[in-house]
Amino acid sequence: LFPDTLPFAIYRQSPRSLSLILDNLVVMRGAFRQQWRALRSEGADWLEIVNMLPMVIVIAWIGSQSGRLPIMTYLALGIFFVVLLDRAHLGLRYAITDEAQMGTLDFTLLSPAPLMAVILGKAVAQTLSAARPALGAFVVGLIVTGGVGDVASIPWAIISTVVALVSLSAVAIAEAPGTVLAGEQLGAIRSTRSILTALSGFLYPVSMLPGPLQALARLFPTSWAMEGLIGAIEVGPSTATFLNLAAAGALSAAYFIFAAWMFTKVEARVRAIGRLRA
Amino acid sequence: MRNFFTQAWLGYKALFYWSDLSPYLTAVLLRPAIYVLMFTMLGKFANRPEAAERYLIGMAAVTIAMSALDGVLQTFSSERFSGTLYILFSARAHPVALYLGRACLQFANALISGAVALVFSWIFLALDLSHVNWLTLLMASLVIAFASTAMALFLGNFVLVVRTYNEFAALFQGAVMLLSGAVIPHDVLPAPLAAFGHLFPVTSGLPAFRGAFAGAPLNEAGSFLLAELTLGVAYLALGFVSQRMFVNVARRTGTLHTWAN
Repeated sequence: LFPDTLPFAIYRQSPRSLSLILDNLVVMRGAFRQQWRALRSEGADWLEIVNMLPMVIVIAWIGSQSGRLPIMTYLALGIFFVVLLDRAHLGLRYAITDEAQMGTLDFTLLSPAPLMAVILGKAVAQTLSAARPALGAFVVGLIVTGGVGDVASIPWAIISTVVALVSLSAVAIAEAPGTVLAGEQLGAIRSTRSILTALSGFLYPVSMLPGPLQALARLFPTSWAMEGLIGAIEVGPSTATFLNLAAAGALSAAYFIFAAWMFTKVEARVRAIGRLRA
Repeated sequence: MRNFFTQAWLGYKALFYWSDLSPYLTAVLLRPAIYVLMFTMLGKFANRPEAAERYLIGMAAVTIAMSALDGVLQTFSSERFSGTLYILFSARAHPVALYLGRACLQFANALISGAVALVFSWIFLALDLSHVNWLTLLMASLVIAFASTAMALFLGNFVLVVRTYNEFAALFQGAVMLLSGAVIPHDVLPAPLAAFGHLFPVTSGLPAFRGAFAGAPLNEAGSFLLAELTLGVAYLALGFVSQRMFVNVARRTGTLHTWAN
C-alpha cells in the first residue's frame, strides 16, 4: 500500500515551495522503513544477544569486584552504550556496504534525495534495532554486577545519559560518509569499533588512560559525556560535570556539522568518479 | 612442501580480506592492543590494580585465540561466498595439505597478535617483563596458537553452513574470554561451566602463559602445555575427519549447495 520507493517519488514531485526539512524527512522515512524491513528479514537478533553475552558478563563481573555501587551503575550504563555502539555502528556500516556491493546504493545516488538523509534514516533504524540487544545487555549487566544505586544526583545522571546517547549518535553518523567510500574494507571497519569502545569512556573514565591515548580519547564527545556521568553519579551537580557535558554537546555538534560536510563531499565524489570507492 | 606454501599463500591472499595493509593494521595489530588496554583499565577502574595485570596477561593470551578464530573462519566463509568450494573439493591436491594450508598463515597472525598485545602492554601499560622466562612464554604462545588454530579449523566446517562467519566467530571468541580463566578465575565459575571451559583453547595453556611472567621454567609449565597441545591435536583430527565427511556427502550426492547455502 505504501511502497518504499514512494517517498523518493514524492521527493521528485515535490514543488520547490516545500521546505527542505520536510523533503528530507520524507526521504529519511523511506530509508528508515527500507532498513527496518531489511533488519527484520535478517532475523539475527537472538544471535546478537547471545554473542554479546560473554563479554557483557566478563565486564559486569569486573565491575562487581569493585564492591562499589557507583562503579557498578556506571558500568551497567556503559555496557548498554557499548552494545548500542557496537551494533548500531557495525550495522550501519554493513547496511551501506551491503547496498554498495549489491548495487542498490547506485539507485539511491541516482535519485535527487540527499545521501545524508538516506543514511540518517538507515541509522535511526539501526539504532532502534540495536536498542533491544543493548537493553538486554543492560539487564544482564545489572544482574551480574549485583545492582545499581548510590547516585548523587539522579536528574544529572539522566541528563548525562542523554548527552552520552547524543554523543554516540554523533560519532556513528560522522563515520558513515567514510563507510560509503570504504568498499570492501570491512576488516578495518569492524576493528574501529574496538578502538571506539576503548576510547569512548563507556567502560572507564578516559582520565585513567595513558597520556597520548587520553589525548586521543578527548576527541570523542562520548569521553566528555561519560566524565559528566561519573561526576553526576559520584558528586552530583558541579561545575566540572556541567563543563564536561557542555564539551560533549559542543563536540557532538561539531561532529554533526562535519558529517553533513563530509556527506556532500562524498556524494559529489562518488557521482564524479562513478563508483562507490575512493 | 613448496606447493603447500604456495597454496597456503595464495589462499591467504585470496580469502583473507584483512591481508591488505589498512585492515591488517587495525584488525590484526591494533585490536589485540585495544583489548588488553580495555581490560587493564577496567581492572583499575574497579579499584583492583593487582587484578588489572592478571586481566592484561589473560587477555594477551585470549587475543591469540581471537586472531586465529577470526582469520580461519573468515577464510572458510570467503571460500564459500566466492564459490570456490567446488574447485577446492574436486582438486587432486593432498587433502591434509589443503586443510592445513587454510590455517598456516593465520597461525602466524595469531602469534603476531599476541606479541603486539604484549609489546603494547610493556610500552603503555607498564607490564613488568623483568622476571619473564622467555622460553616458557614462547612455548606457551606457540601451543595456544596451535590449539586455537586447530579449533578454528574444526569450526570452519560449520561456517560453511551458516549465513555469516562474524556472529559465529564472535560467539566462540566470547566463550574463550568467559570460560578460559583469562578474567574470571575458574574457581569462581560454576563447576559445569569451568569444566566446559576446558574444551576451549587457552584454558589449559593459560597457567603456563601466566607462569612465564613469574619466571616459571618450561618443566613446571609442561603439564599445562601438554593438555593444551592434546586439545589442539584432537580438534585438528576432528576437524579433518568432519570435513572429509562433508566433502564425501557432497561428492556422493552432487549437492554441495544443499549444505553450503
